[in-house]
Amino acid sequence: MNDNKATKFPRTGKILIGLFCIGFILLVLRRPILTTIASALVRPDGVPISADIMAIGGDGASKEMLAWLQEHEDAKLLLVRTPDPRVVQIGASVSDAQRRLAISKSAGVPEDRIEILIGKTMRAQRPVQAMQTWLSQHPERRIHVLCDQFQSRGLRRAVNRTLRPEHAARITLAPLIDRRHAVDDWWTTRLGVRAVLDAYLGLTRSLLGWGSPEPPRYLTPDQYEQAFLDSLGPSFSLQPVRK
Amino acid sequence: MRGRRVLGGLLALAVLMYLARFAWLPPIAAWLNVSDPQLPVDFVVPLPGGNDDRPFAAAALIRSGLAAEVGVLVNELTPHVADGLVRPMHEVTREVLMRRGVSAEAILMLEGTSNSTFSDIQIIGQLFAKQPNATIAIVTAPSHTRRVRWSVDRILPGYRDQVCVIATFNDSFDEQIWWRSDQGLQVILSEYLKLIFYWLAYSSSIQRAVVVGTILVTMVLAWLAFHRQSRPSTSAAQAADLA
Repeated sequence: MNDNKATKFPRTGKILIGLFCIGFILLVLRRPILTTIASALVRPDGVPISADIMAIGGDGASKEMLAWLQEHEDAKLLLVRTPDPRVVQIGASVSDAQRRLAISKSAGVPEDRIEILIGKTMRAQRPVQAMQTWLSQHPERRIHVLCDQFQSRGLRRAVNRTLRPEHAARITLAPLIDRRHAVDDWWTTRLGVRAVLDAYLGLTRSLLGWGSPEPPRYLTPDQYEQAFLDSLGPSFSLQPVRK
Repeated sequence: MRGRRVLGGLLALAVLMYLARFAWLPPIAAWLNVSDPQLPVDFVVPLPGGNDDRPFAAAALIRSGLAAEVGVLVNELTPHVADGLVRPMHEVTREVLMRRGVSAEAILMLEGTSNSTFSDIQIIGQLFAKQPNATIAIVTAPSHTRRVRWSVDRILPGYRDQVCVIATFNDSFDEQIWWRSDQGLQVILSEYLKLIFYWLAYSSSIQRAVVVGTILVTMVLAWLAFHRQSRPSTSAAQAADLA
């Protein structure tokens, strides 16, 4: 009995010392460790000599997009038009595609260099599906995609999984660094932590191979307001909007 | 041998949890929703962050006579807004409200910069400085309601009965299968992380001490129980000694 106790205690002590050492190492090396965690999300490709340009997201994407078009005279601007959210439907805001179209036109990009691709769904994979269509129709062209740096690995994975290998090889990703947070300081801001967490959640889902079902039903503004009032419990009457 | 048993137990637990996922995963999302409509109210405040649903819900409450005025929170400047690429979120909120039939006189822009749920509730508290008997409905996403309620209870304890939190209608993902959608996974899991962060950052020292104490006591009891089980029984040890 006593022998048993004597052999157990040192093992517990060793475990505690081990945990303390691990904690100390993590504390001292937190900067390189956290930087590595975020770097794993960034997946840059080389810059192609010639390609059409598509902006999916990222800080400064519009500026980069215009610079690319200026530098590459044969390049086209590819915009993905998706079903409009309610806020766009009522004219209170513009979609990303509309905004980038307006920026391009005001910067003097001729209309024949702009292609509007139709994204059929509201889902996250919509730009990849639009790329598939464009690459199938234009076998000689490549696409350079501007995206948020932390989303780049997930996007590359989506491209490789969704597109045929010969199409996926004609896409290059350009991860853009956000002014507010980078791989070596993301943990210092709330937005940075959120960006890295979101990217890892998305990547984990993609690695597990779970499918993403369509939203249950995307309602129009009138339908939405009535559904909201109905969800409160007893039915409430809703005055119509005076146009 | 013990290691194998533990591994087998964990594996069996994992299989069981997978098979029963439809029983325990939906309540995880449902627990976050503490919507408690107490209508009518003097003010409805749609929290920033969901311009495709929250202002629509607020407009529906105004038009159906369930709220008299709308308070709009002013958001922090983002790089895209600073670059003039997008309009500030609060301007879009105001525009949605007006386009959905809310008169300009019924919209009150609240002073202060909104950059988190906690700051939002602090700003909303200003309404009580002007009207101590006012009733307020805070409109936000279903998964966000618990954190909002928690923040209201801490920041405005004297007014907790005058503030209700109302969940918007969620048509962006099916809450019964939230783990299968990109948005559902991101929203639900990040909300739990935020709840933990809020608890660590904004709880009182006594509350933190009670919870940390409970966790430590539970761990010690579990450790003791585990070791008592793994230790040979007294009679078996005596038998071994005699042998």
